[in-house]
Amino acid sequence: MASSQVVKVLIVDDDNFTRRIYKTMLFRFCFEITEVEDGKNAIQQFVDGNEYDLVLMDKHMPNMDGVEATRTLRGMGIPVKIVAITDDASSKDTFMDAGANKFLLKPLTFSMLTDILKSFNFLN
Amino acid sequence: MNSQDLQNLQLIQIALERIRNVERPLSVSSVSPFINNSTILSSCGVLCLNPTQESINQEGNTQREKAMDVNMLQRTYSDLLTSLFREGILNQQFTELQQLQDENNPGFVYEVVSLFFEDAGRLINELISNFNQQAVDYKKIDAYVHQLKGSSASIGAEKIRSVCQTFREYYDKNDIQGCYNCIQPLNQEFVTFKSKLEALFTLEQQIVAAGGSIPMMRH
Repeated sequence: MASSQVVKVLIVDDDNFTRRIYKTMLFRFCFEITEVEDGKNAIQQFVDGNEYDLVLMDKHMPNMDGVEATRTLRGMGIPVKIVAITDDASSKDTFMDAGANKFLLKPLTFSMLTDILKSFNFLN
Repeated sequence: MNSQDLQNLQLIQIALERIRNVERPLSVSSVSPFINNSTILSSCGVLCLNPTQESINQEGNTQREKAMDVNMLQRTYSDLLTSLFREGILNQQFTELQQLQDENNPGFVYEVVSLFFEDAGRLINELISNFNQQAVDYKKIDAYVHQLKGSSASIGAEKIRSVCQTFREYYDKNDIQGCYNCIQPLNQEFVTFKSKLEALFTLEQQIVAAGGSIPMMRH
């Protein structure tokens, strides 16, 4: 886990509407949340020395898509939990091969999110 | 029967006439011009109220009217919301959003739906504008529709999401005419969605202003 006790989450999605919904869900757990609009900015977060416990990664984004961002993070040796969340069901294998831990289809519901957080032991 | 008894009887008859002609309990003040004997009044079934009780009674009537207003508004709200689900305009995802609304996020649903109105309105305008150009950039159009499909799915705007899905199926088959034929229905579904959700939010505001709470629906 990241150095502090608070779970740190990075939301990576080009749709600010989607990011708003994820943030509201995550606020219920008092997590620390950062949001970026594409894969390139997600990578930059880690390059800048930021640490996260969880990344919620969209697929289709400008500049760098979610699969490429996931592959790049794993290539950098970043062990963060990555959950791919996309409406593109055909991208599951690609995402998992790139190093994602979980794959979910949009729209994300609160119960789906809770199950994921429990599976990673983020809800203590 | 002496003349006094006769007079009392006449007064009682007048009082009873007043009672028959009004719906709420009479107060002393309304019948006292005729009878000021509380025993006689009581025997006529007239409530003997002191001025404080009378104002409490009037306040009770006002509160009853208010409660009826709130109930009516809540019923109208529930009926409208039910119809939105029944007509397929909304799906279960909208209920998910409602459940995210709490005392820490009191205006959450209104906020995200307003955001959707803005985003979707802009995307649809871009779509229409792009289709009207001489050289149509279908890749850009597909990107817009993809974005609209995602946000409509996130908010539970089922009909909008469905038209977007149909568009993408035509796009994948390189059926440009099919894509084009989706634009007008997409715009229409958005206009319908916006007007119905605006009506829903107006009702919410009225319910809250009347002191009621928003009914939660289970679908």
